[in-house]
Amino acid sequence: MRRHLYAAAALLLAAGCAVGVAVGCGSRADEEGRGRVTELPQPGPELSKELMLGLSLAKNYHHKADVYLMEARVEQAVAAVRQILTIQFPPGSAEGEDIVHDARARLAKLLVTQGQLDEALVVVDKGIAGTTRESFFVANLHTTRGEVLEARAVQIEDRDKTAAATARREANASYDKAIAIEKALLEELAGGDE
Amino acid sequence: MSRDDRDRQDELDDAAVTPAEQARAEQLGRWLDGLAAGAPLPPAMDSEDRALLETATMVLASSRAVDLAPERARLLVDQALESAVLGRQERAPGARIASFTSARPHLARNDDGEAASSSTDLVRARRRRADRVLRNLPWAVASLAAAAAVVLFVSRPVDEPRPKAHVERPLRLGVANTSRPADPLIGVIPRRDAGRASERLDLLFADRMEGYRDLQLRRLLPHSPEEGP
Repeated sequence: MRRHLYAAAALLLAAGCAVGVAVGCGSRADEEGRGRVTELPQPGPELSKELMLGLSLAKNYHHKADVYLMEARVEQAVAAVRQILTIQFPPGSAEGEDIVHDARARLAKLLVTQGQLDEALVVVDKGIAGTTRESFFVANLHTTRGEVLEARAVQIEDRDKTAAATARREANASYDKAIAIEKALLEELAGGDE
Repeated sequence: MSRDDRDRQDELDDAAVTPAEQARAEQLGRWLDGLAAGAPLPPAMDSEDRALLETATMVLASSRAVDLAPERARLLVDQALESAVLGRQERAPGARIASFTSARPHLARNDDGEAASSSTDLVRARRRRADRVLRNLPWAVASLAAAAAVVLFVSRPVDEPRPKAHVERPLRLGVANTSRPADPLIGVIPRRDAGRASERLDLLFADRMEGYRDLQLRRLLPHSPEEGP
């Protein structure tokens, strides 16, 4: 009799374990079935109307700048891209930060074509200083900074070779930062794929 | 009246007159003469006699002119003049005109009779006024109700269309429906493409719009099987 009781208790425990394992496996399978493997594992808040409006606004300013550039009206294109920096995205929105970084990079490159290297450097440095996380857009900002410094080196080459050399070193440092960020992100994404 | 009745009446007329009947007829004659001469009726008398006397008076008054004594005629003229003059001074314009019967001595009203008549007139006037009020009251109430209905209709509070209650149902969010970094979508930005932010933003916007639309459409559905009840 006592042996039968032990056997029944063991069977009950085994059944409970089996149910728990089945439920656990099922829920994990559900989670894996959702989303893309390259997406971040911890999604943020849901896409809001404010965010979409901000993105749409930025998109239109970029297209406006494209049109100006087709007519070689660089100053107007610069003004249009500057407007993107004033857009109020929802606080903490990752897309907003990325878009503003990208706009700063484009603005800096436009300023370089205008010969306004100092201002271009200020625009890029402000973007890098306001970074909350590493991203391909931050890496792009470092890349743009390197380009600005390269252009400065060329600009001052004849007047001050030492300063030009310093600018080149700084440019390389910026490229190195960009490369480091990109590598880290690529590894992270590759890890998410597995 | 049938023929039998008429025959029966003739038989009664032909019957001999009793002394009591004779005495009663004489008494009625005296009262009638007295009335014609201006004497008042006795204070107490049989109702049948009074009715006979009044009928006889009316017949007498309508059949011949009343011959009045000179004193009586003067008295009546004085009374008529007095009542006419005083009545015009005391009564309001439009007051009752003395009736023809008041000129006759036996039917003339004394002061008490005029007071009774005026009080009766007052009562009648009040009754007429009350009747008029009662007759007009339903119309007045109906008019007031109609006016109140119009006022209430005009000044009714306008019901503004209530905005639909936006019920935020908990939706199962996929990664595509959430705000997130654009790195997985954009990837590494080559140096030659550093300034092509416009194209990258087009790509990013299209991707996020897809997730946003999915979210909105699912929210509009009454009960999505995915979301449960």
